[in-house]
Amino acid sequence: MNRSTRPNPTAAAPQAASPSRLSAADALSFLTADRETVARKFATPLWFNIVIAIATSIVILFMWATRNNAFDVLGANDAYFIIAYIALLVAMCGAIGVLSHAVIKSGFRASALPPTRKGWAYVIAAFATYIVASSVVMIVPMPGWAGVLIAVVSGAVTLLFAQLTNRETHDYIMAGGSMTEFQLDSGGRRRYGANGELWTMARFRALPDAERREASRLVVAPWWLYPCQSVCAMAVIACIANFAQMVVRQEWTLSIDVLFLLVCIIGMTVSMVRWIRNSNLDLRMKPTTRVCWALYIGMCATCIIPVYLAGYTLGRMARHPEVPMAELAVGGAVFVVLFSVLGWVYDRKQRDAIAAGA
Amino acid sequence: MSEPQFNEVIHAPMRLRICGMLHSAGEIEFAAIRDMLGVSDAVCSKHLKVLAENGYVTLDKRPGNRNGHDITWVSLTDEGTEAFASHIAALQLIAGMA
Repeated sequence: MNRSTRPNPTAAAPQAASPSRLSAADALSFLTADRETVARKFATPLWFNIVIAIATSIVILFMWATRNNAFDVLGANDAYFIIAYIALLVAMCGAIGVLSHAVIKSGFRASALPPTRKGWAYVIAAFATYIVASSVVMIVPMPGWAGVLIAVVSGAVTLLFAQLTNRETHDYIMAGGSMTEFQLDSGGRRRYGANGELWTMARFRALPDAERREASRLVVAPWWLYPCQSVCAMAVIACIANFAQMVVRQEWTLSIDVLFLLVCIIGMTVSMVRWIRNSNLDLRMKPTTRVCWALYIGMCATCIIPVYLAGYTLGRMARHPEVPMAELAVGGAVFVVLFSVLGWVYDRKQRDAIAAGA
Repeated sequence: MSEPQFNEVIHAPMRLRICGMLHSAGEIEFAAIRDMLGVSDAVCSKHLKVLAENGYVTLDKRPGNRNGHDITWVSLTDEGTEAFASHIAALQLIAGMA
């Protein structure tokens, strides 16, 4: 951009303002009206918050039901539970997918972290409510009406905190705050970081052939990234399962396992995030060829394995509070190998496609 | 808190609103800015060009999800953010004196 034509901003404006210019108060009121519109974009809709609250209540009810063998009364078994659990996850993911689509269509990068400490407190409180409620129904034997009450109250509290978080973000924006640094996939801050512009597909395509072939190597992640992602996912499941066994059976020696897994999860997450930020790659880059698309869909499909294992573990532990280590190990190994191999091949195919100018 | 400094480039109504939206939201699609302002493509484009030429915004074209056309994403530069903040401080000073 040509900065030499930039006019000098004038200071001490009141004397320089002509009668046809917008008054300062009018200008500020225009900005206030626009902020209201922007603030609405960053608020999760009420219908979405209600869906999540209802889903939270249903999950807690499920937990109560498995703890109290309610599914046996219905003549159901673990398979029904797993199917119902997966159906619930699909419904929640569907709601998130619809919301994400609406956000993308709106033209805003509205996926953002809470911008204030109060907002963070509300988000953490919502999570804590869910964890406490689900722990209580799993640990403490209670009649059906108590389980329903806890489920309904936790759902209502989740809804309340979601609305409070929205209000906090709204107030922040109306007060003149900027959401740039809180956006989850912020193009602003990363794009002009120390490493320069983000590597997007458009940027690759704009390069001359030789440079593009050289630059295409950037899309190949280091060998450890995909195993790290998949191992991290399995570690989260194992950590939660061990924590549950520790609490239910009061086997406090398991705290060592829990802590070890937590440290591993944090370490792996930090490493992955650091590499992803430093790579300056546009994470929204789509697969370029049919082969790449097939590999990408394959990677997504393998993610069903940890979802199934999480549901299986939950169902098994509801009846026998012991971590199904063998199943987790075998299933986890299959997931890690599949996800990693597909990821490695995908990167190389994508690199070759970019180098060839696809 | 920024030093108040009135900015003639930013003060034009449309450009002021554009900067305000970008400051609040971070990054916005060209079409969304145009719709919020209620103006045509040409008018919106003209104002964005002025801001870009002064180093206050960046226009980034990326492959879009609609009909395969590229989508232009607009965001404030660091310089633009600073200039906008200074201009707002100046407006608040003026409004307070009025």
